[in-house]
Amino acid sequence: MKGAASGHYGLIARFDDSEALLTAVYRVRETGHRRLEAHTPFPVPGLAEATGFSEDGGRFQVARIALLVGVIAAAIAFGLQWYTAVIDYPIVVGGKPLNSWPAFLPITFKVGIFNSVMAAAITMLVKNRLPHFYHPVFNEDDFAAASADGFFLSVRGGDTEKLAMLLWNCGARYVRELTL
Amino acid sequence: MSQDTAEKLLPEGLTHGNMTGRIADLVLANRARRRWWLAFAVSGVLALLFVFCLVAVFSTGVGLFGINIPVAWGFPIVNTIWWIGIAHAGTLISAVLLLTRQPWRAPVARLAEAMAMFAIVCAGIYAIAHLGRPQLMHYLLPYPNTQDLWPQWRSPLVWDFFAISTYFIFTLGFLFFSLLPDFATLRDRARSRALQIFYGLLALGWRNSAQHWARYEQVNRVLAAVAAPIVVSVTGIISLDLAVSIVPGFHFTIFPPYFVAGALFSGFATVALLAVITRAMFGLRDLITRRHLDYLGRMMLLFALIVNYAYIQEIFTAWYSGDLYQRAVTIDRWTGPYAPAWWGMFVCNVLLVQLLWFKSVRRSSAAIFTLAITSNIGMWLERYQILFTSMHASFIPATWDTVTPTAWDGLLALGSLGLFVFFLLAFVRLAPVISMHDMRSAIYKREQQREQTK
Repeated sequence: MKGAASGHYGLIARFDDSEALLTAVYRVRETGHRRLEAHTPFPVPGLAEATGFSEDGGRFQVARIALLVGVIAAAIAFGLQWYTAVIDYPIVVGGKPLNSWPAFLPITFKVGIFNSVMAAAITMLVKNRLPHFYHPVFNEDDFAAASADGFFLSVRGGDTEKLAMLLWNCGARYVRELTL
Repeated sequence: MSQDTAEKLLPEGLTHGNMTGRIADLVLANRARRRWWLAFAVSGVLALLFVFCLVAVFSTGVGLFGINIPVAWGFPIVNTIWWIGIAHAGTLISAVLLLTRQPWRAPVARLAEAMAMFAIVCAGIYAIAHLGRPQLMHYLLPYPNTQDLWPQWRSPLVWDFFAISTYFIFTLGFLFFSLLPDFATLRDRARSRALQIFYGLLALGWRNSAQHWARYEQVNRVLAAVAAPIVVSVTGIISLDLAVSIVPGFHFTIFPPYFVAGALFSGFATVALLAVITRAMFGLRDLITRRHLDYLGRMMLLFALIVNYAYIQEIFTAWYSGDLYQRAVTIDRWTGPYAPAWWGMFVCNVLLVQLLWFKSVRRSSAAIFTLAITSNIGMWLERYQILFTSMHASFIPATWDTVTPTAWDGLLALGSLGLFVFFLLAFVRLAPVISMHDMRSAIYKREQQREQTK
């Protein structure tokens, strides 16, 4: 599209619906291709797993990191409050004990939540490698349809001719070359 | 909810393509409608008024407000609580309805999230404006300083600071993540280079990859799960500003849930109000249907009934405690100088909302529109009467006084409404008013269901 077509990246195929795409993903993976990416306008159940998104270690990773960071941050927040109120700046208010821990809980909770949300968001972006403004799939002229009603499968490298045949056999509407 | 009902939430001929085109064109069409410009200009003037009043308050001091001893908290705190309450339903709709997989959530979620965002902005500004010396706000932060001082952790004011700032950043993140795939859609459909770059930067290079979607859904579920306690805790913590004190009228253990229910009530009312306006303004009557208004009406009724229960509890507690002052405050609310506020609240929040029991009322745009406005007025009056009646005549009769708000109070409140509308109007021109990717998922689910029943 824009700029000179300098290098070969791989192939991109467009399918009519999510079922055809899912079948194609399975069949392409059977032939040994690992570097493939499916592009759909909405999350299709099972598609990520089909493209090699690992269940174990992957599925709850975001949640696990969020929980871990949240708990650590909450502990730090409580520790800070306890240290400042009991040791560094002890001041008796209304005859209450210096370590009046129930009063420390709102901030402990908030700081924990704040950090777990940030951790979840950052984990998602980092693991998805976003922001990532340039990608060869954007060189495909009709790729805009991936955010409306197009179902795409992009495969990097591999034996182009065989792969193209396979994609046609899977019922692709078209198969095109992706340039770098 | 039956499958049949879920089916009727989407119009028959709606496909991924035509829905995306329609919603995106609302943003990408070159010319805004004249009504939009008119509303934008009016709200812009009011937003400027807000800025002007803020400058006046910051440069002159909080003496401009109609507050004094004994009523030291006036409009700024009333409005902080009111605005943050409106924000809550936004978070609840986008998060809790996501977790419980309510199919009617999709077309109203974006409105709710945007509403939450701008309501928090108003609430946050009000919270800062009520400080006598806002330039010393950083004293609320624990940082090593030359005075060897630390914040007083037992003070609800410090809790507020953490609660509101956490909520602000959370909502910003939630809104941005919900918009991320839609920014990608706008980037893909934009024709001018400038818009492509603008939305391209916002979309972070989102390429609708299946694995990206999988992690996107994970993070959305985490945010939604975290949002539920946030909804409960922010207004809950703000209510502790009042409930932790020993002032009769403030000192009730029921305050946190009572305030949260009230917040959700006014929030759902505001979402309903915006839904009615949006479907008329942008011709989206087939996407935001009467059925959606019906569900919003039911949620309003639910939380109104909880609020009504809290009113009864408040009165019962005052009587049952046997405390002379608690009883006096309650009687004063009905007969004292602020009685019109209490009775106004009673009419709006107790009597008028009962109309929502009727299906025909819940399904009428005009009725929902009117009830949404009266409910918000009612909730504002509720916050007003709680603050003013509790403080104006408490323990020492010698300090009893009646405090009236000043013109500055009124202008700032009007300005904050203008600011809210101004932000919302700007938002609907820059971002899709209905979440396109949520709608595509909803359409996909309908296709799946149809195949199963075949």
